[in-house]
Amino acid sequence: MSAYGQIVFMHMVKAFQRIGEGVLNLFETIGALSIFSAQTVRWIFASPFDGKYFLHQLNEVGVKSIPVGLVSSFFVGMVMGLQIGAPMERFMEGIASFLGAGISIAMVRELAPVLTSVLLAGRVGSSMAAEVGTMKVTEQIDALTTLATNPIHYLSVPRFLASVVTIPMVVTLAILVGNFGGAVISYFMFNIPISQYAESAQRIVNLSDLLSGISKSVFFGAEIALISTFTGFRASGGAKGVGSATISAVVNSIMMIIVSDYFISYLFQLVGW
Amino acid sequence: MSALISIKNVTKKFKDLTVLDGVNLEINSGEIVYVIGKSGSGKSVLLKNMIRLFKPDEGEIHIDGLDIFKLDEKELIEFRKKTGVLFQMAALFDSLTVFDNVSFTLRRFTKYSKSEIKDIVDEKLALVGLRGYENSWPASLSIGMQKRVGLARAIAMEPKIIFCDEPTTGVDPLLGAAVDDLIKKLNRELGVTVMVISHDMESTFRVAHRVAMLYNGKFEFTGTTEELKNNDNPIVRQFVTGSAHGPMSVI
Repeated sequence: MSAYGQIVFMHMVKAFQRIGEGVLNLFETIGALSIFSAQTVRWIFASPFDGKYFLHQLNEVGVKSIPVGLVSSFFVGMVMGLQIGAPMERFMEGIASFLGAGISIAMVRELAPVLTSVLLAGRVGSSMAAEVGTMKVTEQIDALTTLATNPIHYLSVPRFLASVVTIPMVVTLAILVGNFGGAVISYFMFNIPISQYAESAQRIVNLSDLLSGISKSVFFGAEIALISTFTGFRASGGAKGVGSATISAVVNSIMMIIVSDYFISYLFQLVGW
Repeated sequence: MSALISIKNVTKKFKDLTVLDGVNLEINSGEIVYVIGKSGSGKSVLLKNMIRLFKPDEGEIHIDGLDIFKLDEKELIEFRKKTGVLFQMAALFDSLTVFDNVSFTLRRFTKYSKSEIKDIVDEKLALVGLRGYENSWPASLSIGMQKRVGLARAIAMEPKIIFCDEPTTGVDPLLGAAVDDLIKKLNRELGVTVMVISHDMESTFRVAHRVAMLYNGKFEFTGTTEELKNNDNPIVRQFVTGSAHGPMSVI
């Protein structure tokens, strides 16, 4: 083999090595995350349960997320009304009276659960990863262990529970406010009375749509909490490590929400939701 | 008399690097033992094995008659209650006040009433000279104060043994002396057995009953402070005198 060929061969070997290492790391991370998730669920039922810390997490995850969730869903509802209503009217005059149906079904089944969860992955996920990551690199997690407290029990369980309880609540509010945004645009741009918007929405949205949207957000909430806390637990290397953990917690949570959205939607369709 | 802490042939490796190489040490009840050695000699690794944050690759550690790596969940909690740890940078929970930090285990594992817990926290904070700081946040305290709160948290459950990781590192000499006095006071008044990881020779001579020096993964010296002072092992001498020149490579 020529010298040039040898260099190319070496580079190819190195590239395959890197790909192999990457794949192995990915499987290792998935395995570790699965064990971490199982341990979190197992520790839910263990005592002592720190009610004060859980309430703190409910406030951090849920209450403080309400403004972000509501403002964005209000504008998403308005944008949808604007972007769909005008072309529809150009196509057929008066058809905008069905805007309520279009906006509400989209808000209930997809937009509110996915968009709100993505936003909360940024707000809540980054906060969880940064807080837990800082605790890790400053030995606070070691201190918890030496104080006879399982770190997963103390740190992951309240965040997990707070997320699966409050994120669906924020999503429910987002559905309502998003539709309100749609109704406002329908009224001011296309002279559609609110009652007509609501009637049109009621005709198309049924209970299974609502269940589908809200149930999805339970899964998304769980994903955000587990991925972000897990990533915080694996932080190392001081401030830089905490920064990297925070970035990967947010990116991976958002990616997981979008990927799992497809599979959950498919599963729900199978059961008729 | 059987030892309260018994370290038998403990070996700990990280990949190809052997940090502890068959280490043996016994600590009797009521003793203050300093484990000294230069940075990177494995002192903190030994400590983390003793508080079960690491598991040795070989060997056993017995504390109060129990093999600490063969405990079930309940026994482990009991073991944790018997031991207190002061971390190098205190490791206070920064989302909790000083009161909540010190009362952490009392609230979780005892049935004391709120007023009883308050009394205990007051007593421990008074012992470390920080009464009146209950409502302060860790971030608002100096590192010396944080270490003292850390010590108050470590002794809240009245443990039999306290492990201290470099308690005088990063504090001024006066505060260092105050922390040393506190360790002696805890040992004298509460009968607590103390193991300290340190490279502060002044503090070692001031407080220790016995000293063990780690070098290259093994104990190069074990004995009293008097024996340490008079030891003519060149490695020990170099460390005790703090000389850059000698058999130990510095950089």
